[in-house]
Amino acid sequence: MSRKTRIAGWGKLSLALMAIVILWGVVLPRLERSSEVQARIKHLDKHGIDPAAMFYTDHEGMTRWEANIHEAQRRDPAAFW
Amino acid sequence: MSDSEASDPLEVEKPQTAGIPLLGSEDWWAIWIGGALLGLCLLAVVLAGVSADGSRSNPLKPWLTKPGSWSSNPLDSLFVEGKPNAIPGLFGVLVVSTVAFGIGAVAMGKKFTSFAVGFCFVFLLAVLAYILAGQNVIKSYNLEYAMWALAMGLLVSNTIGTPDWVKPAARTEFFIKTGLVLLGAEVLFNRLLTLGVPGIFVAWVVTPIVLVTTFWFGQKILRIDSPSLNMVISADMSVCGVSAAIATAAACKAKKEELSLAIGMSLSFTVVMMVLMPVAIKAMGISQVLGGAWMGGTIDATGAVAAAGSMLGEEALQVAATVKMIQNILIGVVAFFVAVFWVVYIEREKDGPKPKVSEIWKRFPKFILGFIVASILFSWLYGAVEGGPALVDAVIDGSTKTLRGWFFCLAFVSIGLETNFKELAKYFKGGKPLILYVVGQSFNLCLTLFMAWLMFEKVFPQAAATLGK
Repeated sequence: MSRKTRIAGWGKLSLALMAIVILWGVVLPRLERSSEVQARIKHLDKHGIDPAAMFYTDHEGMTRWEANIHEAQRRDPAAFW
Repeated sequence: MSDSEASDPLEVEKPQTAGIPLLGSEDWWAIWIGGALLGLCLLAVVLAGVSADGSRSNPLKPWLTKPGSWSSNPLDSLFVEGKPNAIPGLFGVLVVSTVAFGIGAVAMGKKFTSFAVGFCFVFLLAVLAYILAGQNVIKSYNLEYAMWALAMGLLVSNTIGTPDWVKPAARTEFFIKTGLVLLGAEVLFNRLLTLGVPGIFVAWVVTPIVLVTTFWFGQKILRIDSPSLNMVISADMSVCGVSAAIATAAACKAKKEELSLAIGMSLSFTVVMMVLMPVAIKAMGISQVLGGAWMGGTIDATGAVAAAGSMLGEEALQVAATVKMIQNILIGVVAFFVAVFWVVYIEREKDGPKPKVSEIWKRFPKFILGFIVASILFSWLYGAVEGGPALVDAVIDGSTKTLRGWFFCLAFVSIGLETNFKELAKYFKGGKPLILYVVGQSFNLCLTLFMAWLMFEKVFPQAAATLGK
């Protein structure tokens, strides 16, 4: 890699890092203060939902939801079979 | 980066131990390392004993953690008020991962020190990816860590270039395969019948039909050049997003760029579907149970399904999350059959004879066996052993789930470090991947809605009524 390319690379990296700092440090926190986003975050927390879950085991609330479904099955087992 | 480097498939590397039975490939090392980690975590929970109320705790939990969520100060993700700070837990993950993969690296002919030095850099990028993903707004819209891990790697490789001293540690395939062996412990077949017959039909009958039909459409109608790209997009869209994409990509030896492309598309569509589907369901006057089942069967990402379900109500949330959970369990079966199908049909020479069993075994991605054995073993522990659910939950929640997340995160950082933006662009050729996704998802939406309606409104209306009480 030539010196010029290397300097250009570091320049691009610095710009990208600045963009990340502005976006995550200023824009997103400001967006989070909006009532709509606040309500959404509170709603997800209240229900034990991990919106970024990759697998069912990532949800804190999964055990409770599953237990409720089992309870419904116990109330009327024939309804599901 | 050369073209050949950029398009390396998720395939095995010949290690120093090649030729030695059960040590001869990266796949086997993924099994041994994943298996050892599962065994150690299980042992730690067993030795910690049972508390008076029958619950179990995992003594490893404080030592294996990831950054949490934050609002305006990223340091809040490491120092959560009222909780122990995350630094010892991050250090624990770093030590465990360095030792585990370092052993594998030595077996693959690398020097431990050169691997460990590079690995610290890859790990640092993974920490940054988790911190970016933990910002509350990002997290609430299902923009998973996989995306940011990929972005972190791409940022380095496409600006200053991946330093030579980092390259020995960017071991995408190894991280993915070991992570999948750990994921096997979370694939519990006991949970398959949670929603009875309706759940099976919505999650286990529709999904394979959509998967096979979409793959056929991609091969025969769109004539996508790469069958592995076609398969990863089809599985990602029909099964359960990123986790299914990772498992099938490894099973069909897809290229790294193909996995990145499939995940990027899936996450983009997931955000849209997560917002629009609850609105559409309300507008159409569909019941919560039917709406929940529809979203559970169609929205790719597990997290987004629950978030969207909760927008309709508690019943919809429970049904949506449970349908998705049943779909999650399908991953093992899909990965196994994709691996067999690839070895038997796709990799076969055109008009060549059907490969012999020995040839199939030779080419079969062995780590899938580790994934399936872990799944069977933990399903047995969960269902057949007294106190099994508490034991398995403690092992998964306190340790293996966290390690699995880290290994996938490290894999996506590695993909980014080995990928050139220009390489990604060529996979969009003619917009075919996008057409495949849109057509497949449209079919998925129609068939899942029909099946959920048939099951919950016509054949088992009592089930919907019971769930609604």
